[in-house]
Amino acid sequence: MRKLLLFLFLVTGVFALPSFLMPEEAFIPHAKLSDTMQIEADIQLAEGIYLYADKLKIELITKNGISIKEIQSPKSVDHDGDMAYVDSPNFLVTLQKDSAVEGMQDIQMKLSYQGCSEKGLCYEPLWKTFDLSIDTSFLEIKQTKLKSLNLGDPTPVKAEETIQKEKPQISQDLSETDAIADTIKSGNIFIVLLTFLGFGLLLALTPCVFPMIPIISGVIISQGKDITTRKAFMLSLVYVLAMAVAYTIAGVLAGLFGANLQAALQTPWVIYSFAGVFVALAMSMFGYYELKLPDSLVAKVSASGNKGGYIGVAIMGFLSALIVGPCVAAPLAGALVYIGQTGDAVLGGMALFSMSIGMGLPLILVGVSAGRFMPKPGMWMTMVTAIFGVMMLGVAIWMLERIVDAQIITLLYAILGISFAIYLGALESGGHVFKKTVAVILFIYTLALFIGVLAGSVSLTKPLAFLQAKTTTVLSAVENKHPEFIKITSISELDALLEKHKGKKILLDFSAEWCTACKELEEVTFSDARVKDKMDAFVLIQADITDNSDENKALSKKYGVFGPPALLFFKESGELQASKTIIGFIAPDPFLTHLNKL
Amino acid sequence: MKKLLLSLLFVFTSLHAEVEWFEYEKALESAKDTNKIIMVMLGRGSCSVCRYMKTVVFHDKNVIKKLQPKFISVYLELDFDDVPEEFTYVGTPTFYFVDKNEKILYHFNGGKTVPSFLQALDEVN
Repeated sequence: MRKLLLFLFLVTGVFALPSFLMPEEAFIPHAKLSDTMQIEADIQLAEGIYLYADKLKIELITKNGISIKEIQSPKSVDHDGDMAYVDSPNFLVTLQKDSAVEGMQDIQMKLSYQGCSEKGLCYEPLWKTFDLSIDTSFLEIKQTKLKSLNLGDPTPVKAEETIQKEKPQISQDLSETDAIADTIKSGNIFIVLLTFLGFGLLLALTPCVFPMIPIISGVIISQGKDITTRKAFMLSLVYVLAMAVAYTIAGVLAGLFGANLQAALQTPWVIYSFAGVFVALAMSMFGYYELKLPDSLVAKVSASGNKGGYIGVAIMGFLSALIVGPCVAAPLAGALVYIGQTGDAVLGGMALFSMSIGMGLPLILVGVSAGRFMPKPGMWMTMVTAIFGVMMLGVAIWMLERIVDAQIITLLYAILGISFAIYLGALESGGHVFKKTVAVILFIYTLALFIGVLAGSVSLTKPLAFLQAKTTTVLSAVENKHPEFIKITSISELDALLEKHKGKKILLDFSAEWCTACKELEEVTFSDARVKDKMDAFVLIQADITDNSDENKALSKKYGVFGPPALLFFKESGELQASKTIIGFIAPDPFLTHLNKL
Repeated sequence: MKKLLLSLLFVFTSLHAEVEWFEYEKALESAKDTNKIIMVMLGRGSCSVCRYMKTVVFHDKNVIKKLQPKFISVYLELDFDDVPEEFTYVGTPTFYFVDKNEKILYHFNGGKTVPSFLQALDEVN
């Protein structure tokens, strides 16, 4: 802060002859009436002049039965620790009248303000009054509820307070989730199902579904050489149906009881065993053994030609939905809210099912093409199964990410990559030039990864970042100043923070380590420089519900969060702005727009 | 022990040294004996530039060194202190330099950085 002020002084370079504008030159206030009897007020600021946002006040001194209903103010910016208007601000004042008031009425509006010059002088508090004649036929009649508030309070109403009193109106705009829940309530059943099918298709493009692509194609490929397109289609369909059933059951349970089945399954032993299944699948693809053990789940998955194959795939689909891709997105939460509010599990469940089918359609396509373009037996076929084996191992490691140290994960990826590169022939002479190139590049990259881990780096994109010289420049110091999320896990911790940061805007982010969309949110949206700047205006709190402990559950339940990610916003007064809640991943640009609206 | 505490206190306060502020009446009295110039700063709690002066400039070693021998510093908060009529102002901070007879020797509006504030003090001298 000191640096900033010093900088401002230096830039304006006025120490030698500090000539300051007179107050009436620095601030030029205006006010006029619009055709609809709203007051358009503005304060023209001279160059290098700023206004304190909290010192700005618009009030009526002569009222004649007229009062302020709402004031629309521009957004202020942080100026050296104070919220300020650095550009000439415009205000739109909407008036209202008491029920008995008619005809033309004179009012006097007082505009109070205080500001400073960047050159280093703070002006005295200033005010100007405006006499206005109001045609009251344009005004709305004041609601009795607000009236009692104002009558008991003869002191002028501050701009912000007035806006807060208008909250009932504002809160009528629904959050996306509630809007979706309303769609189910109002729409006809076919429209609802079609809408959710559409949501599902869109969700298929999110990272929640990506890990299922290698799984379904791996399952199909593992059926071996005699797979037909029809069989591939049926298997994919069974996989997707099972997945949809799982989503539906989990969703209905969550909606009715608030229990999160998906989160409950994010326990180490479930993850370890499921990762184990993938390792077993991978090994069978490498041809180490045939998965023919009749009793095991794994055997069923790969058993061909009998019903067992389908049952295995169905179990795989069911578990994939619950364990692999636990994602909550706005449509899902919308259906859950609907079920929770109405107790109508049938329609809500159908909507969920429809959505999951939408999510699964691309997977069916993947599965069918995996079967269709299944190569003929031979070298090439061995190669393809090997690639899928590696992908399975990749999925296993990816799942372990939720419970295992990042360094070990990166190490595992590196080892996997190096072995695969060697398998492809990176260290042998000869071989096709294309294959060789791929192998060598993979080898070099994963070797870098390996070295990176040894040097303490866990980044998959910049494993060798530790080689860069560490230069502490002023610039990096500025970048680092963005505040970090404060982590909490229980209601009591959150309440303490909410109390402590009263008077500031608060962003509460529900997150968990097993939540893919949360990672994407952090890596894509929160790391965007523009978003970071905007987020500086908020106290950042992260509710970490990785453990799914009773405390975590109570916290989620209190705020109606079905699962991460969810972003909640609190006002300066500590009040939750429910309509501003964001469920699921949001890209930087829409997030910026959202923040600007707050 | 007492000495140790005192010296610790001294070290502590010198680390957090700030210009010593006096009430205006006291300053006038003491100016009569010492013949020092009274520096009056008019400020307000809400004023960001005043905050800068108090937290940065009046904590600066060189500023303190220059003020100490020749000036008595007075801070008048416009929100609650009585301000003598002759001290007019359009904003804060505003600085007045007066002698023991309350004769205004010098005055300027607005805050200054350390170097230009030092320069201004030289001009007053």
